[in-house]
Amino acid sequence: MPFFTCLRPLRLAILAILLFASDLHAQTPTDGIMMGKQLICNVASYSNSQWDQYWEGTLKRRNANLGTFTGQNIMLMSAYGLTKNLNIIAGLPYIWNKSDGGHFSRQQGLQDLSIWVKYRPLKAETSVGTFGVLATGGVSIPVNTYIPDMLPYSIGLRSKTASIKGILHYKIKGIYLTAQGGYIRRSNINIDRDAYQSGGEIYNTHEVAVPDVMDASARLGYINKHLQIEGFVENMTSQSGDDIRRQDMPFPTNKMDQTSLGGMAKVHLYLKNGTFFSLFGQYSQVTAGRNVGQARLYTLGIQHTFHVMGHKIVM
Amino acid sequence: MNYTFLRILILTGSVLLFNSCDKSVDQPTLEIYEPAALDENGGQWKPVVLASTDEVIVPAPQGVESSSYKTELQSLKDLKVTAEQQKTVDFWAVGGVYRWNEIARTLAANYNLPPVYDEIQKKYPVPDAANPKAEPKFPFCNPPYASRMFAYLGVAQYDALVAAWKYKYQYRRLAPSKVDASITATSPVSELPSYPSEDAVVAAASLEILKVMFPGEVDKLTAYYEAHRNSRLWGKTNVSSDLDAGEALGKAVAAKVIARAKADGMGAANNQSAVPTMITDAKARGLKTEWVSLDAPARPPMLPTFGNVKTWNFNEGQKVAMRPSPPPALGTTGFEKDLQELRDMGKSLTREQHRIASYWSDGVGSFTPPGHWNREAANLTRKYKENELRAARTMALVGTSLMDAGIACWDTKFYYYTPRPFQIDHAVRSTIGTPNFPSFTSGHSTFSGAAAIILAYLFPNEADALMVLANEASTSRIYGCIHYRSDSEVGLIHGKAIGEYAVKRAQSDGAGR
Repeated sequence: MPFFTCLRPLRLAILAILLFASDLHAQTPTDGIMMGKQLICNVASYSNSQWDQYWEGTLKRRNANLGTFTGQNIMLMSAYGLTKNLNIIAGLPYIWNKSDGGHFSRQQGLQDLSIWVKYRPLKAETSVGTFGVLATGGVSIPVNTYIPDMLPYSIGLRSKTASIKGILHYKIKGIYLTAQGGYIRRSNINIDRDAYQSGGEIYNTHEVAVPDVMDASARLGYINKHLQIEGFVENMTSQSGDDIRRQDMPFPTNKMDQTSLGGMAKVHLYLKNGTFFSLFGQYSQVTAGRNVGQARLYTLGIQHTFHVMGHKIVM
Repeated sequence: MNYTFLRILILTGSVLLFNSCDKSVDQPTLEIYEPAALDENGGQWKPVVLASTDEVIVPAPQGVESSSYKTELQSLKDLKVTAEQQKTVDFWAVGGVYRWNEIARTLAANYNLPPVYDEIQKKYPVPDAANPKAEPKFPFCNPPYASRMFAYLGVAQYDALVAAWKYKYQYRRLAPSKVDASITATSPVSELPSYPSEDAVVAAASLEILKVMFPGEVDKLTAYYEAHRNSRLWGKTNVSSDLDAGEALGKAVAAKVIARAKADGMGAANNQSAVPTMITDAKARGLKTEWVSLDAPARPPMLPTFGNVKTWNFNEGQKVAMRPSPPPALGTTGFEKDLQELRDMGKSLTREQHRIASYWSDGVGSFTPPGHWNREAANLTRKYKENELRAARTMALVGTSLMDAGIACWDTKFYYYTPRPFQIDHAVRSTIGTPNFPSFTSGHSTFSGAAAIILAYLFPNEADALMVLANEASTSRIYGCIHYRSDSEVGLIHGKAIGEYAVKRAQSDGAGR
């Protein structure tokens, strides 16, 4: 089962950048599975997240001037197995954000390019199951000059990020359990204004500090040749930051935290030419948060996997 | 191969994660300067609220040979100043006028949040000055409120310093380090007489004004006051009697300025019951569709009768005479042209145009448009190394001009009561948030015209740059799709006319340029 999961690490990178901004992929972080050597998979997915309540600091509220917020994105992503223990992954989303209340204009555009390397230093097959230890490292950079100072409509925060993650993976008879923890470093950004308020102080500069984030997840699932299903819990916690003030707008300095629960299902369709397609769907719900929207999110996607030399993929 | 990639991974990760751990945000450093001039005749300048500096009396100080003064000097010599105290000295040595305006801008931003709709009472609560810390906090420091706050702060500082200069040169008691060479001050000391202390004057006047404007911040403001006062002892630049006399003077002048504030009509500036008549009157003048609040639920207009508040640099008749002619009426070709420009903006807005809209947005949570120009003015006082008195004059002239702009603009807005672009066509969406009051004229344009004209007079070398800023600020509201072009263009012209009255005051106050 060498290939199913190339989508995951990238989503985490994007989630880390977005949260309030767009929270497009409130779903699975890096999983415990690797792409086989010289396999490529290309993914196209559509995500839709909506919320009509958000946390202003710790206070959960509605705001008729926002109404229902809708974030959508299409993401294109590719992953490649350099070896069976070393994968490289890249992806780029196009995002649309709007709300049906108030009078703000929608924002849309290409967001950040992410590149990840995923490495598995240890895989042990024992009589009581398969154990894997994995590590990933990634970077992301904005690909255009979108506006970060218009939250929640901004499509991202414009921060450059670097992240590392550790993953523990265990599987027995198709049932797997994956635990993941990571740290996302986010660079300071520049906004168009040269004065802004944060934490009760005025900063007379374009430069804005964006909090780093720690993320963790646990997922329990079942996987075989034809399908994969799983349930997960995820948490993202900013390592610093201030709260949205009463009746203020969100801002990139905010401490954006959230916990979500979700599920994912994927089926594989094998073609005669030795490649295969996968269709997947995911749903998640933010259950607790701070300075974020209480989003419901679904994702639909298709991926095509093939061998770079045209070899048939043998299951 | 594995290992090579692993090494790259670890190396890259390490560099990015650990080598760039500095999250600190660089802000412009503020150098401590020696003033370009002392303005020795400043005591003869014309105050704004005081009829004359004779209204306040500062008793003669003890002579430098007196034993009480020598005791004061000795206590300065005995002071052991800690590194932390020296930081306070350096902070305030940047300039008392500058620092108190900076504090005022911070408070403006901290209080520039509109009240939250009360779902139970089914209305927007009104902040209560008698209970300032309860939600909604008092004040809602919106642009008119901020303009008034900055104006009174500037005027109190200025009037108090004019009086201070008078007594400084009447008594001519020099700074401790000039009297006793064994005392080394740790911030610049000039030939300016030090009794009464200009720092204590500014600190006391500012404290009194800001306590009235931000009654929920008394503790924080008092701590600033104490720090400012102490910084003069720790820096060995004043003795206690300099500070005591300055404090008394600052308070006495502030009391007179506050008396003007209490009687300027601000208490009646939120008269919502006047609104129906305003709309009827505007319709009688040809208005087809009146402005309605775009907030949800609809919010009462911001300070509809602020236009009646007492102005500084012109009178009621002059205000009415300056009031702009009506904008293009709804449905006319001129109106359609303005509206079409905004419809097109949704598609054609460039990143640079957005940058301008955002830079000048000065919306909810910011220090407001008057705060933006207050900062421009304060930075110019530093660039030209103005002494405390001249800096206060700059801030008072700009402050009064901005408040006059707020009053005259609000008078215009509620005289014509015109709808915002989004109200007429929901396709016109903003990137910066639509304010909750009528459209014509643009407040930002009026503020900017008024501030730029007086600043251009005070700093002629900056005139061109200031006009560029004012034009940009004015146009930013079109880019932000919250104003028609006619709102901005007429507002800017109106603002400039308002600013000319501040120039008239400046030309006749005895300070020269």
